[in-house]
Amino acid sequence: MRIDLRYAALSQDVERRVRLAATALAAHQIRATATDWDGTRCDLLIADASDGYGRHVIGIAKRKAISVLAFGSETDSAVDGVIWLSPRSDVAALATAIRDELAACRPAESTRSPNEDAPSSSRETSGEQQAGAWVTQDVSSGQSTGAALVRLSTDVELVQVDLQATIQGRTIQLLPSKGRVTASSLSDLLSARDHLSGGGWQFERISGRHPSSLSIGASASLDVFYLYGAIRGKSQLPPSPNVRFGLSDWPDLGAAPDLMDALRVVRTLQRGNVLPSEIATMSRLPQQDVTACLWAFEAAGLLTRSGIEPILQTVRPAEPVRQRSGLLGRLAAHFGMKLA
Amino acid sequence: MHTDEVSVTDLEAAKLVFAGPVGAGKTTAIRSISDGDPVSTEMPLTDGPMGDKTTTTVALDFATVVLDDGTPLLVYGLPGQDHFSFMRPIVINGAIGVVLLLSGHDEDAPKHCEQWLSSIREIDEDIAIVIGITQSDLAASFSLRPIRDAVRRCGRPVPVFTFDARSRTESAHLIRALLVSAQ
Repeated sequence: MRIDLRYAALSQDVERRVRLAATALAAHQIRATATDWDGTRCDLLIADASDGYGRHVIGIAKRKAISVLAFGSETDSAVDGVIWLSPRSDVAALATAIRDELAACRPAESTRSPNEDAPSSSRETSGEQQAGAWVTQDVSSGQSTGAALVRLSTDVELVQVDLQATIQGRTIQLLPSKGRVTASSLSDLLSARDHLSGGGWQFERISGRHPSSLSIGASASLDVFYLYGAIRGKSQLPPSPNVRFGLSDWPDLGAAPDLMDALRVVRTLQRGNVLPSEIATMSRLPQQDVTACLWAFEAAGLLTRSGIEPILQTVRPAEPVRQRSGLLGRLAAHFGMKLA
Repeated sequence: MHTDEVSVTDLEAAKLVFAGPVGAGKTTAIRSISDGDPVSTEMPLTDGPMGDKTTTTVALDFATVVLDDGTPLLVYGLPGQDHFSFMRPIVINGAIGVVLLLSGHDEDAPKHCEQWLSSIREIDEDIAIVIGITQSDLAASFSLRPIRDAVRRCGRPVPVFTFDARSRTESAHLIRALLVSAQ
């Protein structure tokens, strides 16, 4: 079992004991990482409630339904609904408190074999799986090599299929049927994203209704998820097939305002039937960046290939817009974009 | 008007319209990109006075953005209520584009999407449109697919972005997509 612990407002000595306790959890088959609170979702927060910042962080964690272990006084009326720890707790006591709190907030886990290392989302779906609402089927086919993005674009077992995907103990749900990616925590999502251009993934096909009991701590646009993953690992991706591409749908780029290059690629793809090399030339981008965008858009099911009429090719610029191209350029410049 | 007064109507001005149902985040998005807080307007009651009450506050937002060369961009937020639909052609006419906002929290978002796209295109068939979906991160069951399907049913495809209306950079990115799609 993999657990993300965060701590806030602890003294150096207490922080050291918490980190040792996290390491000691390995004796219970729990691989815990303990890091500073950064505002993202985690499994458990340990904070000092006698400190102003600690109380502030505890408040945030409670709003996010994150379990909290707090150092301080149980009579502190400003903080309630947390498990209290003595500041003098030794490493063993801290490890026990952490383990007990994790078991309390994840009761299903206690019935599992300690040797199992299934990700949390798999655990939490067990009840629904028994009811037949949420079923996963391994479609990894023994292949764990090859960039995940390429496999998601080319492997018929994986293309445009809702999948539960696991990499290095982190599990996410790739849901092309919704255009979303979900995970039990943001850290799982970000970690998985950074491995999209590499191998080592396990995929399970999801069928049935998304279980309401599934812990969704993070949800994001699938297109943006693929795009960031492709850009970050662009050096590992193979060249795109040398075929003519068009767009079947606009990618959902709303949460990627910093990826202006992707917008330039989309702009070129709008013309329809363009080769990767032509996209690079027309958008004045390095071929590697174009390749990354194409693999991301391909995995998201947004591209058409030569011989298929691209839907967006039929778009005609509206006459009034052409007449005001100068104004559009000034508008674009104001909002941080250069229109050729 | 006195000659020393300058009105935005005297200058070359661009108009951008934010549309969408009530609660989609139009005011928030306008606030995030504009130079100042948007102002709301009061309009006469369409059915005439109700006793002493002769006006009602409509959710028409107005704000300005001054471009780098001094050209004003006039930003309007249409009222979301159907009974103010008569205002749509008045506001949309002459606009460079429409940003249609929908709430990801709203189960009827695909239906609203079709209604608004049809309504906007009845006014100006060729106008550039971009769709922004707010609050998608708050709805665990949010799905982009039904909205993409609704867009396809309405004909010409338009960009569909999920975004945070509070973020200036993400709202600005929506406008970039509008400009790219308009080219």
